[in-house]
Amino acid sequence: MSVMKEAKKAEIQMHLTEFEMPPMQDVVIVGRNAPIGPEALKRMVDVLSPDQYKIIRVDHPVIEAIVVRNALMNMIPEEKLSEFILEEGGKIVDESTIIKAHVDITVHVSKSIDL
Amino acid sequence: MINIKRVSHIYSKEFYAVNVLDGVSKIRSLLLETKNGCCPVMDDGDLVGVITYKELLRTHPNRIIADAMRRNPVRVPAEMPLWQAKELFEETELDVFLVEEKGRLSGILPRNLLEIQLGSHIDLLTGLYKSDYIYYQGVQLLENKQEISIVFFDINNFGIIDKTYGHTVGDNILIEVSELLRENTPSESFLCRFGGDEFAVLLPAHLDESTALAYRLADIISRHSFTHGIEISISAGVIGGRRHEERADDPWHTMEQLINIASLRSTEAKKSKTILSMCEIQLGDEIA
Repeated sequence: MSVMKEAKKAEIQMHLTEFEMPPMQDVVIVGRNAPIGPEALKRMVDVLSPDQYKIIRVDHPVIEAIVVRNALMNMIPEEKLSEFILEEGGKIVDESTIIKAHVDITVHVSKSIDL
Repeated sequence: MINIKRVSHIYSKEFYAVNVLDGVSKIRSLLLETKNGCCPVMDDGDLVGVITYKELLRTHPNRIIADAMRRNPVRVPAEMPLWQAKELFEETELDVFLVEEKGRLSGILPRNLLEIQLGSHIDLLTGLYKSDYIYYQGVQLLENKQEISIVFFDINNFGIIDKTYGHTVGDNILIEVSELLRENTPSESFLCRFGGDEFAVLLPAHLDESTALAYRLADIISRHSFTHGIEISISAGVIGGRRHEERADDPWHTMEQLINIASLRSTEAKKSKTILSMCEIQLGDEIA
């Protein structure tokens, strides 16, 4: 009688990437029924990067709030920025999603001076 | 002294305070287990909000309480009359108030608990409010130094009607009278079944207006065709005045006295077989 030998093998793969600090970029758009609310997000980033983000609660049918990096609001006013984010974000966000967005702002300045 | 119902008589002193970082799912189970409908939310020892079971059901279970609670909870003193709490619930559209005694959080007042209690202040036969309602509204008028007048009346010979035709017929007459009152009292007035065959209408108006209303109601009731063709008449007592200056006297006591005088005037009218007996007073002088 021959004996069958069972062989078990496991394959391990590991992907290493750098941890983002904080794990969000410039803006996070939070849906009204997202699993993480704006307050939880704010508290998380406040622990990792204190005082760098602000929650803006919005009156929108799908979006509950946006969490925005303070530095962006030094470049353009909060209302203008949130209006832009809501307009564009509102097109792709649904109630249960959380979207992180990278926002680049370039300010063009042109000035004439007397020679 | 009027035993007006206050928040202190009904509010729930057993409550659980939860932490702002607790999970929605955990607190939902806690409220179910403890049969509570809501609880205050604390953050580092500070009261920061209130959460209701209804809000927990609406929120994603993975969230923390900070993302489900209602901020800036309304705190009410335990001595607040129930009627005032009802008005505040309607104004704020909230489901729960936090209750304070001596400046300290001492319990919660859910809206449904208040509504159940106020249900007992509605007369089941006629659907009109009971006397508590008139007392509370009267005190508001007195405190705001508004004109105040009361029409207090009862149905003549109601006891005889009850004995002659039976209590069911008597009840039907009370229902019909209540409907006539509801249809014919001004929208800004407050109406109640005071007890038995007695009714009261409180008006934020001068005595003249109440007197005219009393005559009008007496006329409407006397001309109405009641069940079994029974003829109904009423005897009314009317009192009116205005609180002219800030006084230290208790407005609840003043209101009690006003109702009492109006009731005595109604009895006087009945004895003298007239429709109406009235009394004008300077509030705070004759009464205090």
